[in-house]
Amino acid sequence: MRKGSGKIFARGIRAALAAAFAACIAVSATGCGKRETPAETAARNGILLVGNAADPASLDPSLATGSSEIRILRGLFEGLVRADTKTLEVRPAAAESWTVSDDGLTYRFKIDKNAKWSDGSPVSARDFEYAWKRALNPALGAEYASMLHAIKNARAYNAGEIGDASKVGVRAISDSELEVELERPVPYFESMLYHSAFFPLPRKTLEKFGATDRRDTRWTRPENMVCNGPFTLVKWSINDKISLRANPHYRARESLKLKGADFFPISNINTEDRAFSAGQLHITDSVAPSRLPAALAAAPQTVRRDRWLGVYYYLFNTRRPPLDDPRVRRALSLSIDRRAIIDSFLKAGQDAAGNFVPSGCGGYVPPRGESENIALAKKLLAEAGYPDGKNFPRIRISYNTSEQHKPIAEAVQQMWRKNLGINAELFNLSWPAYLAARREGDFDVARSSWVGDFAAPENFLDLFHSASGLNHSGYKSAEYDALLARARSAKTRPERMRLLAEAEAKMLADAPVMPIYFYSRVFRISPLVRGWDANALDYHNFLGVSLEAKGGAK
Amino acid sequence: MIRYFAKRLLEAVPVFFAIITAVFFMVRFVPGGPFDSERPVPPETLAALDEYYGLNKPLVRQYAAFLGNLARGELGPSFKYGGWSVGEILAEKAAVSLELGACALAVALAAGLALGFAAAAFSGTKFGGFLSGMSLLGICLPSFVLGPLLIMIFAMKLEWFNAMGWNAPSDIVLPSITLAFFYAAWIARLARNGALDERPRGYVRTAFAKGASRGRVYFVHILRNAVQPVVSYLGPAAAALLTGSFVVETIFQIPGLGRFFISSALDNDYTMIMGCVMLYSAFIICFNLLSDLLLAAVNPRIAREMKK
Repeated sequence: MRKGSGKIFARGIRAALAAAFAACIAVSATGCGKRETPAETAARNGILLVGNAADPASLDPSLATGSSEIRILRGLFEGLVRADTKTLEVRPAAAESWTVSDDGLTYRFKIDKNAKWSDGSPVSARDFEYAWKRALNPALGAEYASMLHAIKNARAYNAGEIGDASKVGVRAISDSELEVELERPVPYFESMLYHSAFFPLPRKTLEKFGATDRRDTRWTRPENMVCNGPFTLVKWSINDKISLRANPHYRARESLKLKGADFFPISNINTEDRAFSAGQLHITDSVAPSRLPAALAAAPQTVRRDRWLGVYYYLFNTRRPPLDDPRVRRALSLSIDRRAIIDSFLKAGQDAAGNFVPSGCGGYVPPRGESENIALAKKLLAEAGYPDGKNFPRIRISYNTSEQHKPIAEAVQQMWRKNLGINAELFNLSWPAYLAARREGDFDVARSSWVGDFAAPENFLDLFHSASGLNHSGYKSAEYDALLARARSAKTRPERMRLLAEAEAKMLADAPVMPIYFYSRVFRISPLVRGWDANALDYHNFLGVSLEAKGGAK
Repeated sequence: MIRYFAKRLLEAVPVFFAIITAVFFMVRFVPGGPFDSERPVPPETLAALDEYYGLNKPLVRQYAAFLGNLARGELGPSFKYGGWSVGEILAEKAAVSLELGACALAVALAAGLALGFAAAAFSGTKFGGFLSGMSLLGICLPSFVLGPLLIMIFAMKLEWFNAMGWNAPSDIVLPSITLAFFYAAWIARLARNGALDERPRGYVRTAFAKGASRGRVYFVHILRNAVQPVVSYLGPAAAALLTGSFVVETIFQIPGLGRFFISSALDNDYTMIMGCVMLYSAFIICFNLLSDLLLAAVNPRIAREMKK
């Protein structure tokens, strides 16, 4: 080592000190003064800035499962139909018209001649046939493939029971005509069709990047993706942002007023709130309940509370004593004050859930639900052999880690103790461990929630069908199953709805579930945004949304 | 000297393999798998996924496959992000973390050394006490308090900076200050103690006796000797700063490495966990070596030790 190196080191440190000081001065000199916020700049340029809670795990429509993925995919792809963003009524999209056979089993769709992929090639009926069969291919392992099981032989092919994809009931008769055969009549089939699982896929592009039953090919990257929705993908940087820009080949580009949309995967609710307040977002994913009162006081016009098709509930394990007794389950459900839970922890005026199916399910009138009735709860518990909670074994409430779940579980624990004399212990699990425990039936009471994929009561009630893979409670009722089956073959909509309500009433009486509240989408939105309609599915296809290009409001 | 470093590097190899082997098996014993989801995945689908990612093979064979890929420099596909490989994600995010970490390291060094030496030079006076108090505050103030505080003042009130994101060049300022704060405070304490240890030495007294100014004595004569504890602290500090911080990246929404250390474990993203662990271990090993090298540069005695 040379002798002078120490001196050079010391000189280096001195230089660094000076540079840091100079940098501080420079930054504070240039950064001074009020400026146009990023949200105002973006509004001027027609770019919508959206807070998206998480990064998409995949932008492949057949593989996407979460709401943060589907929200982006609705900008990139378009199915046979789309929904009206106000009423959720089905409207033509890639299909300009369709017919249904009298027995409700066969649909024929005529593809819109103007429907184009972003590379300018026409959207063909074959692109739908290809996409749906690919999703059902057992080798692909698509988690959402069950959405397609209404199609004839789809479930059997997906489960590997039949190996021949040509037996699946979807077939392109020509480039412009698609025929879909169903396993049995599904009264709500059309409203399933705007779900991302039914989007078409650009076969050529997928095949260019590898075998189409491979999951992790690079076709979904911005430089490779070809899509048919209002936007194309121009940037995907994990944990940073995803940028979409207007698709020049889009079928209905005259109804698209935006020039683009940027999605920010902000997982921290406080970071998102600060970003909105500092004018970096037009729409947030949510608002922290603790920040809600302040936001409502400061800028109530920026807070939206839209009813959402989702329910938060506790599931009882009906295979385990003492919860195998419906009287015990009902007693537990009758002894909690749902309003108090909502007002203390959620603070956004959500609806208390006495029944299971949320409102907004296309004309469904749910049966009267449970509400707090401690006298009846005590009576039921005594009948079941536990007067005043005596000898009631200790039960466990399992929930996954979340700032929201814990206080609610504590409140329920308190209410059961106070009202019924029952001791419950809280059991916190990581998300994968919680899912594994619930799947394997290793719980007493498990926090759960369900958000509808389409606006039909069946989407909720099928969860308790004895053959459903989602029926974690272990509830089995032949009467309930029979009512659902009758509803499926009902001739008219009112009859179907009546039978479904009857089924729900039967299920509520047996209480495999304790509904707590119905979801609302609580979020903040800049006054610069126009036409972001409220609907129960949080469905936004970006058509009709616009941005006001003037400053001031923040 | 080269022999010394070669020996140290060779010693690190078994440590590195012990770490990745332990982590490889530990993550697979955690309950739940990478493909658990709210919606029930049919057993056939799960089997297809396990087959696809090679999770249906015996653990030992999975481990062999992992080592084989590693030898070819492949970390495999991320289980969480479809269409992305772990290597690709880590490379992209490491660039961000390196930039932010280097900036924070410079700030921490500059501010820490200045504060530390000033505190030593003025020790015994009220001003010196104030400076020491400042560094204590820096150690105690967590970044999840400091970050939002800076955002509130400089982004929301004064509107000088963005509250989050990684787009504008100025987006580096608030996060690097937040990230540097603790390290600056710690370096200040080390530098102050180092300087105070040197003060009674003969050469310092001589310098003062010759009439050298206080600034000249501290920043020329003492600096080189007093900086040694700081230099040995730089190894772990640099490794921590350059691999990013979960908290700071979350507060400022920065696409760096730090968040993957936490999120990959929560998602059971096996390949990503392995990538993160290997990267962090490699950083620790390298930066400890590097700080030894620096130590040898400022202290010839240590350099002589290494030659033996």
